Amino acid sequence: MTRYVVRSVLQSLVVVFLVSVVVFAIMRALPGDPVAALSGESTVGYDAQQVKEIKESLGLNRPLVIQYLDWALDAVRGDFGVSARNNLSVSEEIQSRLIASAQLAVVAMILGTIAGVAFGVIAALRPRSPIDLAVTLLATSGIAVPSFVLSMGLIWIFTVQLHWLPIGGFTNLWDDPLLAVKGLAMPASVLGMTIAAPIMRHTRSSLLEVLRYDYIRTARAKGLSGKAIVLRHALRNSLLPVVTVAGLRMAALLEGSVIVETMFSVPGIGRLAVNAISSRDYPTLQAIVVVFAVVTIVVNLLVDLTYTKLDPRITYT
Amino acid sequence: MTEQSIPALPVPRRAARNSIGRQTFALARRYPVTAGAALVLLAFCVVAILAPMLAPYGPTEANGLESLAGPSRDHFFGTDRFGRDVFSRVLFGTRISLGVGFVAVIIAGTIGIPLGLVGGYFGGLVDALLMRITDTFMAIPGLLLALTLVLVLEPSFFTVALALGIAAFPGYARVMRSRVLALRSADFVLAAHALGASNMRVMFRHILPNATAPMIVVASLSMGGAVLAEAGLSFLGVGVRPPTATWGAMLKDSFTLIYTTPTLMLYPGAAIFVLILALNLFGDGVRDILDPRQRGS
Repeated sequence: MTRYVVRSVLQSLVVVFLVSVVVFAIMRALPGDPVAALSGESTVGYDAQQVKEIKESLGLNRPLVIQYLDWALDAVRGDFGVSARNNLSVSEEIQSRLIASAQLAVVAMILGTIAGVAFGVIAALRPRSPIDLAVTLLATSGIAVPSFVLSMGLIWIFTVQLHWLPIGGFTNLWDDPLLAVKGLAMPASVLGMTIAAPIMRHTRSSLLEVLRYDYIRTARAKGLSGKAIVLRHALRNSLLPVVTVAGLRMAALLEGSVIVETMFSVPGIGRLAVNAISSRDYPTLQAIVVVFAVVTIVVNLLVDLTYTKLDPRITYT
Repeated sequence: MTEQSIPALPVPRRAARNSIGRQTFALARRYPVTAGAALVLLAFCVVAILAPMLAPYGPTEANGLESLAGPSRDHFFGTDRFGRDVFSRVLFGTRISLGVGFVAVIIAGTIGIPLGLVGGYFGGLVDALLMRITDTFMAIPGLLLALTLVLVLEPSFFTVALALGIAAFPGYARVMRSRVLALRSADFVLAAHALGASNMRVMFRHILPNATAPMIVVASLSMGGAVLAEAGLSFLGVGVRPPTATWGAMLKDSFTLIYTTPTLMLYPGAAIFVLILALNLFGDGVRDILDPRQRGS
């Protein structure tokens, strides 16, 4: 077990290293103008001497390996340089937006998991019934509808027609809970749905499989009610693959936050990424990609390691 | 031994000729949803190819006098802010969505399939290295990776497709690898080895063809993802450049008009939804047909 943990952690570290190399290479080694990439300004109109000076001041005349080490060592210490847009520290900018993103992501994860598991159970209890069909259809549609299309639909219903919910107006949960709930309702629902649909499908199929096992028949023969069997016996064992799916959807959740935060003006990291793109702020974009990748890697590692806790039958060597 | 006359078995003559058509028809009857999805996909392909013939107007043909007109006999879906015919733009948008999705799938397969094949076949250090590369691209959220790549390479049809292909290849590598692991010690592979086939020959002539079916499933599902991501990029303004008609950009335009002309978002939104739904249902269906144990999962 210890060996497995060590190996998993080492593998994850290798992946983090490779992510940093890839991100660095995209920004520096690909065709394109590195001066523009780092300073946010185009070099059109400068003469060769000026371009050279800018390159020297940014350290771009040094070998790529040195440049990488310089950047990576700073990044490990949490220093991602300064934004090309406003010369503020990228790390501080990301930290200040973490609260909004985290609130949205956590609420979305909770909503999505509850909805996904609940609908999955409902569908699995009556396989091939109209209810099952309706829920499955809902999940299939949920995967196919882009988050921005769903957002626009919700905004049209709840903001334009009913005037119930604001489009923007993010408030911290602890500052004004009511206002915060109003502001989070739509973005968290949209983001939650992107994970609810796959969770529902996996809960359904996993529960259907477990319900065929002998011990379920034993429980039934014992005279337990259907509800007790499903909730106390079957669901627990069928949730294992669901945990994996929820963990693997972390990347999708972060990805979805880019669009959802932009649509609903949530001052989070996803929206920062879009701002960075429109202002060609490469240092900020670079930092966000690394941070999102590291979060994904850590979550996947944790899911992997908690497997044995959730299911004692699984042992790693 | 005396020769005995053995009565000839009745050989159905037409069966051989019709078998593929009949098999398809039989499959379609057993899996009506998958067949329906296939037909919808076919219809999208036809629309994409014949867009210039089907569309009553050019995709960028603007008429300032007819800005934001409602649906009429002249403009089935009305017109947008610049007086461009929305129906024609939706038809032309099919080309970008399907085209980018298709090219992205080809690129993802070209990178991912050999990676999974080689890694799974040789195992050991090679496998470990290739899988870490796969993990790397799996860890970077695809949309952000694509956004970054497109920004560095300048947005165009091919850079968008390339970026989405790079973001999608890990799925192919993973599935291909697991398929290879399952086939590596199959009898026919051992037989090929015994007959002296080279590693390359075993990999590409014996294992690869036996992994076609799961690859079709991955391709179909990942094309849905690519279509979705392309629309997302265009929606964020980092896709194929305007005034080219793309569904994502049309939605972006209509979002600013949600208070005045909310119907505008309906058409590109519905087009994206139906296309991705068809791709997903087709992929799921093919998986069900190949592996009935996974039904409904």
